[in-house]
Amino acid sequence: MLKRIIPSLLLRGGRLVKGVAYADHRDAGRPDTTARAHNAQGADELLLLDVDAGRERREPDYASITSVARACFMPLTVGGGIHTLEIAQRCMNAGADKICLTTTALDDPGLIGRLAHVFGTQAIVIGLDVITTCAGRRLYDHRSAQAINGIAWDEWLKRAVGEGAGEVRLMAVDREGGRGGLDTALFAEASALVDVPIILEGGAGSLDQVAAAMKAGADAIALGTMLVFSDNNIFKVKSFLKNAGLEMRL
Amino acid sequence: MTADRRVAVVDYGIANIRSVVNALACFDVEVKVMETGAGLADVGRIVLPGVGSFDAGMRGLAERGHVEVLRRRVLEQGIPYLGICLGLQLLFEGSCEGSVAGLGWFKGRIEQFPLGKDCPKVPHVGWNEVEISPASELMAGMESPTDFYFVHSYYAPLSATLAVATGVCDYGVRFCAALERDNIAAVQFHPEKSQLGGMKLIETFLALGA
Repeated sequence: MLKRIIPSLLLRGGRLVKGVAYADHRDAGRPDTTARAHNAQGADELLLLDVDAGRERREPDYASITSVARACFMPLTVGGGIHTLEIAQRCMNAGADKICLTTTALDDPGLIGRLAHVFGTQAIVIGLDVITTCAGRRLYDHRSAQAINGIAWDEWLKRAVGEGAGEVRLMAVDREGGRGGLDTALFAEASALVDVPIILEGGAGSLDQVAAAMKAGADAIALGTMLVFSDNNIFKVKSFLKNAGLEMRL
Repeated sequence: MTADRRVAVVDYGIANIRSVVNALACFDVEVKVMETGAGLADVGRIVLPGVGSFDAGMRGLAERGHVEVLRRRVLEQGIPYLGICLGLQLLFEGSCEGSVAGLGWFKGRIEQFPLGKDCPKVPHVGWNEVEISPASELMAGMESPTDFYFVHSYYAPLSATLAVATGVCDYGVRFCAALERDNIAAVQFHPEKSQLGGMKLIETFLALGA
């Protein structure tokens, strides 16, 4: 299969934002026009996360999801604040193709299976926010901005896939927005544990870093900062990767 | 708007039809979402989208009164039909996924990708190449191969589709990715999620038989 490049869009107040380690968010444009540009430039999929829905205990921003879906003729994964089957259904009705569960699945692991039963495992992405410090790797709860000590990240990964998640979004929180390079070791550890596709995110700052991560085995990489706050675009990124000998769709 | 610019998207309760409606709405057509068969009477084209299980799909079509109307409008009156994903599979006599009979407009049964250590992962999710036959009207003018986006675990075997297959994809087994016969076209991939190539296919479908 071809390698995938996936823009990761964070939604807040009807606008896109981007930050560092899930904080210090800066405005990053309109959701629909951004999606249209990514579509035209050949992004393989799109990831749209409502960053405040979980913390504010509200449903996702369906209006923005709808406007992105209208501009997005590629698979669209939607996440943030999805804690019931009904909310997931509304996201699907707004145009989502896949649902990404992160903290809501930690609160209620059975949610993964309930959604997979209705939409199929291929439509359920489990999001893992992993923070790596001197204390090792731990799950991270972006709502409280704290590491989670109740369950180990690798145990949770295996459990979530066992519950019915068909894909993984693996975010290295400590690298997010830092442009220091992707955590390929984290990717390798995760892919040794589960047999489903893994999207690696967090830390991509240059074309060389993305190519290096793909050559180290990552078959899908999500990009945020690199597409927002630099002169890179999807076409340029994918052309570079193809010229570097990687199997890309152009 | 003339009848051939009126396009029905068949809603049978299980499929996510929003993305198909969004894609059709990019063109100069009137898109009607048809929740029951009665609504299919005055349209000029029919699109049957769908991700879901074979049996649930057939039951949904039957419960909403689509089966007989589809047969009359597509098979008898010959209006252009585009099946997407499950909308291709339901055209056959049955599927190893379930026990309910399909529409049976095409001979043969839908099969499951082999599972095992040396086989590719199932479901088949992602972009893959489709070899396009020069005989294809639906994909006329496209380069072969062209990449399209797939999400499925079951497929129409080439053994059953030799005479009608106009697109072939390889995922461990070579299978029928597109078929065309008279006014009936169907694709296993998702043109509505396949960017330029997919939109070109939809545009071509909307001009077929006009």
